[in-house]
Amino acid sequence: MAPVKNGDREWLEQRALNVIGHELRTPASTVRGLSEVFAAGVDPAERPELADALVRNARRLEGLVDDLLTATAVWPALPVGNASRVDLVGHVVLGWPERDGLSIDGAGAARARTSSISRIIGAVLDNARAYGKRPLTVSIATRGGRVQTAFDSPGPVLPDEDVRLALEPFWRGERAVTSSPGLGLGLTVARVLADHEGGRLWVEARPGGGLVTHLELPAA
Amino acid sequence: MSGQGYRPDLRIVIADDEPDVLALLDAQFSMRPGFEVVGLATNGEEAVEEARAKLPDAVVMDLLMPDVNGFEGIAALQEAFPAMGVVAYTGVAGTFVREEMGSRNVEVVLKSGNLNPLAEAVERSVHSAAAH
Repeated sequence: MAPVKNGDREWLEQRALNVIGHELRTPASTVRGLSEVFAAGVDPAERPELADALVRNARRLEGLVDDLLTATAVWPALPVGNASRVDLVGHVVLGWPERDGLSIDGAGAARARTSSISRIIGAVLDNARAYGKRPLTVSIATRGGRVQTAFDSPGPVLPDEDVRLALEPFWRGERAVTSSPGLGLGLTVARVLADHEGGRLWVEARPGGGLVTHLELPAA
Repeated sequence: MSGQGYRPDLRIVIADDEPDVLALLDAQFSMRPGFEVVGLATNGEEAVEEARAKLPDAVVMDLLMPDVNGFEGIAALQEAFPAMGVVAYTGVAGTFVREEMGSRNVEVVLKSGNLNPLAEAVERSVHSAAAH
């Protein structure tokens, strides 16, 4: 994957400001507004949809802050705790509750923090779900003390730029901010956490269209 | 109701692709004297349809929405209903947004949990539209 160019950096910084402004301001203002609605005397029990919205937006806000901190790769924000044996097939299955559209080939276990693996695999699956077609094929194999996982997600032929910048924060490909909520940090967070666990994550264009995301971790 | 100083509620349509934002604004405007929410929409096209059906005094329009966005929705509204007030309600307002809305004489309000700036802008938009 080619490095980020100077022009990309400027563009991404501008994009970051826009995306952060939009994606953080909306839940933050919703939490404030709903809190004040309840403070003004509205009974949450009588307006459960507003109470649900308050909880949902507070959680969304917390998740966005967590993603922002993790994506910066500043170590105090990264997961703590001891590594353990983590079954990769189990995490893939957990992260794909749909009844079909997923094919798993092979098996393997990594030595890593469970919370990191859950977020890495969740982010890769979310990306495949949002941008790819079915089926998603996940291949797992262990070689030389490393467990290799490939997420093969068919889809449209991607512009070189989309592949080159896929792991950059705030890059969201051709999907505009208007298409779906989120900061565009999922794969960035996955890459940072893979590094944190002693592994690495990278992407390449899939022959015929789509994206292959590779995850390499220390084997258990 | 009659009497000096009586002013009918301002009837408004709100467009935003975030259901929680719609629910919040609906609740806030409903609690605020002088306003009546008569329609909700999730993109620019629905906003125009609601405006056509309900003929509100003003439309509050988010700008970043899927399908028909707020920029397109505002252009369509101003063409079809030049005497209707419009306010752009958005999370971010860069140079393009400010210039584009300025050229259309549409006030931009940044999203906030505080309803006052938006409510006041809606009132101004109605008065401004009526004056033209």
